[in-house]
Amino acid sequence: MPQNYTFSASTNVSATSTTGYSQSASGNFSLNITGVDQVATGRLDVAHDGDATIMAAAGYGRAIYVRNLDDTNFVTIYNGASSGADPIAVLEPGEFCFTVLRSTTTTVAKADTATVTVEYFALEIDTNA
Amino acid sequence: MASMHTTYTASGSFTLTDEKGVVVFSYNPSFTAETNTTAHALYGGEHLVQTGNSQLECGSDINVDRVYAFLKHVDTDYAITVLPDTGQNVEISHLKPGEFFFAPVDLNADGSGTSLRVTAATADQKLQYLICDALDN
Repeated sequence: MPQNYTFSASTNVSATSTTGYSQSASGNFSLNITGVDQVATGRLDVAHDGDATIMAAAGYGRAIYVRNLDDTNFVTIYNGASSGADPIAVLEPGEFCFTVLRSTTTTVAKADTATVTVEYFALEIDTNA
Repeated sequence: MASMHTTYTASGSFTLTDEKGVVVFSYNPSFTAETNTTAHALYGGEHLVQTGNSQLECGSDINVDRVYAFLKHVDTDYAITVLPDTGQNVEISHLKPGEFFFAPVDLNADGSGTSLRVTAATADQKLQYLICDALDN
């Protein structure tokens, strides 16, 4: 497969109080990535009684996006095998997260109560990115 | 007794294109969280992240089990690592200059955290942030 990619990311967030007080923030950046071995994307069923792998151990690091498509239950994303103490994000229905990790650990997801479906991508990045 | 209600919205755009110009994936997620009628705080600002650990302190009255955290590296030199202030020693993000992190984060996974720990490599680096109380899961 092609080895060279351009990844673009942007996000806007806003928090508003009923008093009218509001704060917002935004960010955007691009990465030029060479030597990519893993690009994983799509939808995945995540069980509540075991870890679902978002991306296996990468050689250097990865960019991760996960969105919870369920209507009811939350899902937790972990850097490494799931445990009570190392979550990256706790996603209620409809919510998403995005992070860049430069470590060789596995990224997994585990649902609460019942299986949920997530939308995701996991993009391996190299030392130059 | 007064109460604080907050509304939180987030949207993003993420695209990967290969060297031939083919779009491998493109996602444009967004959500508006259910109004939080028990919110205690929303914080924003800029922080000079130290090399020996800095704390973005949220306080124990915020919902430490879940906060919306947006962090953006706004300096030019060295990476910043992000960890919840718990017994956790695994980073949840590693940001080079210009990069950002967004997630609803559990600050309290081991039962003691009330902040985000941010650490700059080599020399102090500037970070901008917006942190808002989220509804519990």
